[in-house]
This record gives sequence, structure tokens and C-alpha cells, in this order.
Amino acid sequence: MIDERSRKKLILEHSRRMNAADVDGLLALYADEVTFEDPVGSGRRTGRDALRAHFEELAAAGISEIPGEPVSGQDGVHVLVPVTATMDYLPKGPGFAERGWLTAPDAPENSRITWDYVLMMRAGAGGLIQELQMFWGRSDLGIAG
Amino acid sequence: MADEATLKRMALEYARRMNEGDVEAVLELFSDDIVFEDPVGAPPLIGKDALREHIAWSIECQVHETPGRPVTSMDGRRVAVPTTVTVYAPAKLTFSIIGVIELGDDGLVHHAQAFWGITDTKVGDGPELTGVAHFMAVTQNLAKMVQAKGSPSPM
Repeated sequence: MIDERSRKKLILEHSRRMNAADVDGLLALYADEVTFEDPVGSGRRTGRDALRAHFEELAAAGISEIPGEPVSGQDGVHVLVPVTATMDYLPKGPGFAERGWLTAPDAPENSRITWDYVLMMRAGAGGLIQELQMFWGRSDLGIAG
Repeated sequence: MADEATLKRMALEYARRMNEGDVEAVLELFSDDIVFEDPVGAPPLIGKDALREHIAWSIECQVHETPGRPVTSMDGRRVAVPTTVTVYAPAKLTFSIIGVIELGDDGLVHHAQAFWGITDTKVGDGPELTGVAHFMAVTQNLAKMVQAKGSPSPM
């Protein structure tokens, strides 16, 4: 059980390290037996190596997250936050477009993706994140400019 | 599987019907085997009869919900929406919540989770309390809400 304020600090610190492209720092917030799903409904993945690769792609895209107000469950483990984010269309955008999640822009190298999602984390022993889920669908993605 | 616009409408429709105070109209959105967790961490309510009592109680407490921007998922089943929920009776409490609902193939809500903690709850309109004073004020007011359950509204 982790108190509410500590869980809220954890999820905001996650955004801070994401914005700093600090992949090692992000991984340090996670337990060894991590599972994650981004987006929810696309299939659950496991392990730190997969998570590292995932964060490296987001960092390479210059992701910028603006977190809203976090809320915590009364189960001692969950914390959630609504996020508005942007990132470069490259390198992740073409993968989104291939899946039909997004229409490819005319100038991929100069475009940014706009993104609304809700982050949900489940934290466990030692205050480490055991599970990350990101809620977003096609209608939560756009191309800026 | 519902399209994303339908999923998002469902979340907003729930808030609209709650605000209208029509218990049966709210219940129409849910399946008979609904699992309803409010707050997540308390034992879930299972089935429509248990949910009816909870919704009726919320409406007796003069609940008002202001949903923010809903987001969905890639499986056509789930939607998450940050929402400000205020109850005005027996005392004013404001909850900052994130609701997550899951729809079945029948287009009805089968699972609903309201995530909110003691630190997401504000008492009245006065100055923001902190620490133990805040914790005590919130838990005392939640206890008042529970005590008022089933008794006529004092308003």
C-alpha cells in the first residue's frame, strides 16, 4: 500500500522524466516484472526491455506531456492522470498510420502528433510501478498545424 | 464493439442522466450483471438492484457531474473520463474523479470504476484544508453521507 500523495508524486515524476527524455530515470520507477499496454486494447506487453524500447521511441519523438490533476484509487495501488501530449510524427507516426489510427501528414518530418490520453498506473512494493496502461483511441490523436 | 464516438457519448450521457436525477434512465445504461466500483478500493456493487440503491442515494445527495474530455481505447470497449462530481447534501463535497467504463457487445456498461481518493475530495467552499485536518473533514463528511442514506433528504 502506498499513500495517495506518494502515488500522485510518482505519476507526475513519470511525466517529468518523460519530458526530460530520461529513459533510465523512467525505468528506475518500474518493478522488474512490469506489464504495460499502450494503447489499451492493443495488447499487453511485459518486461523492462520492451518498456525501454517503447520509451526510447517516445523520447526520440521529443514527446512533451502536460499532465492534468492526478487522482488515486482507495485500493492503495492505483493512480491516474489525464495527459495532453505532443510528439514529432517521426518515428512513431508511420506505424500509427499503417494501423489506420492516423492519416499520414503531407510533410512527415515537420509534423507533430497531438495526443490526449489517460495514464493509469498500479504501484506495488517499494513504490515501484508494476503496470502501466494508456487509454487512447483513434479519435484522441491528431496532427498539429 | 462500439465506435469511439459512441463510447464517448456513453460517458457523457451517464453524467447527463445523473444530473437530471432520473434513476431509471441512469440504470438503462447498465447491464444486469454490472460490476460498479465507487470508489475503487471499496467492495464492488454487483447487479442492478445494488446499483439502483447507490444511484438513488447519489441523487438524494443532489449529485452534479461535470465531465471533462473523454478518451477511449483501441478495443472499442473502454472509455476514461476525468470528472468533477459535487454533492450538495447533507454537506457540499467535491470529488475529482477519473471514471473508467467498459461496454459489452450489447452496448451496455458491464464494468464501471470511479477512481478517487481522500486527497481528491474537497469539503465545502472554505479555505483548502491540508494534512490531518483535511483527512478528518473528508471522512466525517463521507460518514454523514452514509448516515443520510435511505433517510429523507434534509434539504
